[in-house]
Amino acid sequence: MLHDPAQLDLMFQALADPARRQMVDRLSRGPASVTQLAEPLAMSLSAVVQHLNLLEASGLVRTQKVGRVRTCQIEPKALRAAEHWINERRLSWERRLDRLGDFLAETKDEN
Amino acid sequence: MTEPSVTHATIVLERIYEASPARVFQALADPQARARWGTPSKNVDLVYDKADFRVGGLDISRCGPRGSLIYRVETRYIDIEPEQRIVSTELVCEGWNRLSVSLVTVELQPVGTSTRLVLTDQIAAFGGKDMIAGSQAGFSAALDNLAVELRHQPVDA
Repeated sequence: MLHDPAQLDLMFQALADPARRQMVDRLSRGPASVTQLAEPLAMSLSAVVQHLNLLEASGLVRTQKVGRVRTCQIEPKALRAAEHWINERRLSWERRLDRLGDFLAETKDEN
Repeated sequence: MTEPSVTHATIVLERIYEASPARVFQALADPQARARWGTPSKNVDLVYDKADFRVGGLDISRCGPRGSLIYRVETRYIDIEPEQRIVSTELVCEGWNRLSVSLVTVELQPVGTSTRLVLTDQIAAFGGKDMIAGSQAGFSAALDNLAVELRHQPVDA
């Protein structure tokens, strides 16, 4: 099953942030509560929840509330390696084109 | 459940540069210039083993996190129209594994004294059998690879 481009954009955005990548990294080792997820991060619980909402919207992470505890887990279907690779490549192109812009600005007077 | 072994996607990016199409084209054509801007960050190294910018020519480069050039990229130039477009195929391998192959089209268009660049990357990504999720182990390994890769390519705020 392929993700539509809008969904890929959301995944790309979700993974563009280091804190969210750290959260995905943690969840790749197994499900965790929001509190456990927040523990290693130097940010408020509400900030963590905001990041989590973005991850959930991107389809990378699924959360489930049991009683008073919200458990988060990775959505394996969303995180197929090939799609990651494509996201990686997109990120890489974005940055390379930005660097091309820097290069053109730096070499403006050389020509 | 059968996972598809190839995932297709099209990446389209657009930039406007305050430079003439001639200068932008030169920066794309010249391997020395590419070595300066062609890495996604300063923590990533890019080395050209072979550069042959002409129709039918082949570039071979290796790139990866500093000190670990794990990816090999073969770029074959299919069509070159100076100051207008460059079409190439790009095969990316890690060791013996082929990761993806792309048809990359770069189009340049003058906009006043600036240049509009449109990059279209039509990619077929091979999800190797051990890259596919489903077995948690395979999934974790792929994610670990990704995490290592991302750590070496920090996203600047």
